[in-house]
Amino acid sequence: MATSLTFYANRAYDKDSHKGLILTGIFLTTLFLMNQLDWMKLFKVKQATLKTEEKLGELFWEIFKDNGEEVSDTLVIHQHQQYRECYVR
Amino acid sequence: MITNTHFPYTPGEHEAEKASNSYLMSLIAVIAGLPLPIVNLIATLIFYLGNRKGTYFVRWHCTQALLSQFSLLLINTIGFWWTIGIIFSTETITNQYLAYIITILFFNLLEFIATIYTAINTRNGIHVSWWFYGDITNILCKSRL
Repeated sequence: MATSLTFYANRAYDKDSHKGLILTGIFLTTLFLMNQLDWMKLFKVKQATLKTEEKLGELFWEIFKDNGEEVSDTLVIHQHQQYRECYVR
Repeated sequence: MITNTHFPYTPGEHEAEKASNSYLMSLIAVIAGLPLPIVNLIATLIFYLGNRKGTYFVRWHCTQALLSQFSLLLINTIGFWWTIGIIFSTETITNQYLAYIITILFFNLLEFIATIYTAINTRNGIHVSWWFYGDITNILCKSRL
């Protein structure tokens, strides 16, 4: 009696574990297929990121301009440009 | 994927309503706590705990609703923390991320439709058993307490 009960329990377990594996397989296959498409291009993610960065840059520039004084002295700007040419490469 | 099978007995009106509510619970929780994947599991778990001593039909459907939420929680949690990582850390949006999000949205939508279908049929006293989840429920839920 106990043996047959274990047998049926094991059979049920095997069947369900197979179904579980199939379900996981379906999920992973869908994920793999979705991965084949270029969603970045489809949703224009790069363009949207660049646009957001540009808008944020403008916004920050406005804030900095409002809160501080913009230096337009050619000597300072020239020195800064020289510094950049020498050290930032 | 979904089969209308015969239950050992014909459930009463009260039972059908309670069983249907277990599915409705997860639907309402999905709408209420959409970004948080744990909310619908907690809602279904509370409903399950409240009906642990209920009739077989009610317990069976509460268990099936709860089990379906478990697998969704797994995939949704990964998506949720991945999104949080992108928002708050140096992670960026990649093709893999978008593919994963679209896949989990698709599976969530499937589950959503299946839940609505099951809630309607269970309310009418029809026993609806899901593929895989129904079998696991049969193992976990016994007719006697």
